Amino acid sequence: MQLGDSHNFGKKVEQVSQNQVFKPRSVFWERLFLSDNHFRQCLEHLFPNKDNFITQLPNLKFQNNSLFSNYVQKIHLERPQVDLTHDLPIYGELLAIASLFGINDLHRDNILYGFNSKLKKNLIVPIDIEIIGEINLLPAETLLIPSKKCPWLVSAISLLSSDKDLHANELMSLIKSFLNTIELLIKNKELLSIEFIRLAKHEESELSRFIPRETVIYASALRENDFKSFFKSEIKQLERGDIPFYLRSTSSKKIYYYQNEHSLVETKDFDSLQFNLESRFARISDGFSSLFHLAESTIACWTLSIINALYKDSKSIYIDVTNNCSTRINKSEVLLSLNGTTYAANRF
Amino acid sequence: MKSNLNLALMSSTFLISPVLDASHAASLPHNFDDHSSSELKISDCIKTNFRDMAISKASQATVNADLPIQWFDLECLEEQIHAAQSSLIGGG
Repeated sequence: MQLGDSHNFGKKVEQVSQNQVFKPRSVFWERLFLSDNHFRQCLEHLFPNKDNFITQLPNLKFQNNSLFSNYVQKIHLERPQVDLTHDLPIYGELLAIASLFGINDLHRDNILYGFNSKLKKNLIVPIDIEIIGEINLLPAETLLIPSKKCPWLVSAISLLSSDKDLHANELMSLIKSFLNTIELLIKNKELLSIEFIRLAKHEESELSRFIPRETVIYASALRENDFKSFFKSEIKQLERGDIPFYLRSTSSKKIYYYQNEHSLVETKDFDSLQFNLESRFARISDGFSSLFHLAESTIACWTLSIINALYKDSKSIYIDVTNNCSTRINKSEVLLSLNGTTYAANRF
Repeated sequence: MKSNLNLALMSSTFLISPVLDASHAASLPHNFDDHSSSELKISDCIKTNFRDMAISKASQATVNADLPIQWFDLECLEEQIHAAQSSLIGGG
């Protein structure tokens, strides 16, 4: 059973048996989170509590380990049970880790959410981690929460709540967990950078997926057979019926695509972009250290943006998130007090 | 726009204070109250990068009732997120 888009000469993710999924791409980054390894152990040890986002992740079996062909154990979960008190803090931890590490494209289809009867709890599992090291402006870039361009039902939060809105208590538990995790990661930034530098020794860590346009744009072009608005490397891939697929170097600004089935070629197509590629991507050779440069005002801005995205009620409320953080949400504004400084944003 | 705000957050008349219960708070990964050892201090975050600069550009400081507030234009920031893709349209 084929599960994904066609990339790189018609290759697709495929469920090959009841317990195994074939992925015709590198699984280096998701293997870091979904199998037992030093990096994951390091992350686990950062959390003082045993029940956190990292410890609830399954240990999956990965076979082959190449850029083109990998087999991954399939996760079997039952329908999730209603337990937002447990799940939203876990989701807040995922949101913090993904926002800070620049793990993006975690839309609804790339997250598995379900009940594990053995552990007797719901699990939240990112099953497709292809992008890492992007310096996110806002947490919404992860697609874990909605934004103007990412509807609620596309964002992964819709797996936990179909209401397009969280209640005040739910919002607070997510925000508290998000802020705690951000603080935890920043406090341990040197350790994490050392871990990323250690990972840089692996050849596969050199590459992370680069998505220049939304898949729906490519899909529409394929349907209409109209490729005139695209770059050369995109047209080449569209002409062979594929959704264009790019990899970027995690140590330079180079962008690659598959010219032949097994050979990557660099493209300069995106050099003319308005933004500077180098400024948007952290370098693994530096231990992704630029990811961890996060001003307190940026943390406040991130928190305000999460509140704006997840709380739609017009009723004015005041929430004590922690002793050092409180928020007041009015119909048109949200104010945040963080460590004695007040930040605000208009709601939309 | 901001003149009607009650800037004193703590004196809100809409206090509902849905604070987490103690057992939940105990399960959280880090005690945010223990800020003495925290690195989340402005002084420690002087280093600026693309992200901090972009967010700073989308903000403005105001003073109302003697309380300084930093306002963020979240819509502007969301637009910036998609600016790269927008710049691609027709760019071939």
